[in-house]
Amino acid sequence: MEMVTTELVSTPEVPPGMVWTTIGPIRAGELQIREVFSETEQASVVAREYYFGGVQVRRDVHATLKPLRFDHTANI
Amino acid sequence: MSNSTAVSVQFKLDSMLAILPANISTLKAALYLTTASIGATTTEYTATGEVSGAGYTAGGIAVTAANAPSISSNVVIWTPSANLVYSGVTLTTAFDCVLIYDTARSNKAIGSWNFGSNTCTGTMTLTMPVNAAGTALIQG
Repeated sequence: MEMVTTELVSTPEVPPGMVWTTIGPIRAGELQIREVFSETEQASVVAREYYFGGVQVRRDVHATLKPLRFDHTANI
Repeated sequence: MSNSTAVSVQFKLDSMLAILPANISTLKAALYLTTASIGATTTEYTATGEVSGAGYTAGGIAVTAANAPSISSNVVIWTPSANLVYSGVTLTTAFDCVLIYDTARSNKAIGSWNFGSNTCTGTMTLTMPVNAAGTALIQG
């Protein structure tokens, strides 16, 4: 998965209680990341949700598709 | 060993090769809302029910498919050679399906996959499975 703009990176300059993001230092805990897993017949899905100050600011979805057979009646 | 009734794996391979030759560059992948009706009876790409939002262009994105269909363990297999990545999209209305179709053949449909209801404000990645018997995206 590609790096996202809110990816946390450790840097020695960040004061205690703060974390570094590409938008600058923010208080640890202000940025929360949640991963939601789901499964369907045709895919395994991971949604990574980013919350800043309790508000969702980004949601990346990563779905791994599953095989489809010629005789599959559901989709083809 | 005994005789059996069957459609030859060679016939399946030749059929798929006619539609999906190596390095085909005319395939596209479009996303659809949960309210759409894409599926077995879909014969071609349609804009009806397609997602819309910032960063998404109607018709979807190009599909990279370097590999031609092949036979693996007596099964014809085919898988695009790169993941489908919709970068920087804002799709806030729930969608759950991708349709792969061929722009060189009047947008005729190849197949559709339902990955469950989602929204996306960032990157939507559809990862291709390993191109082998049992895992390839399309098998016959």
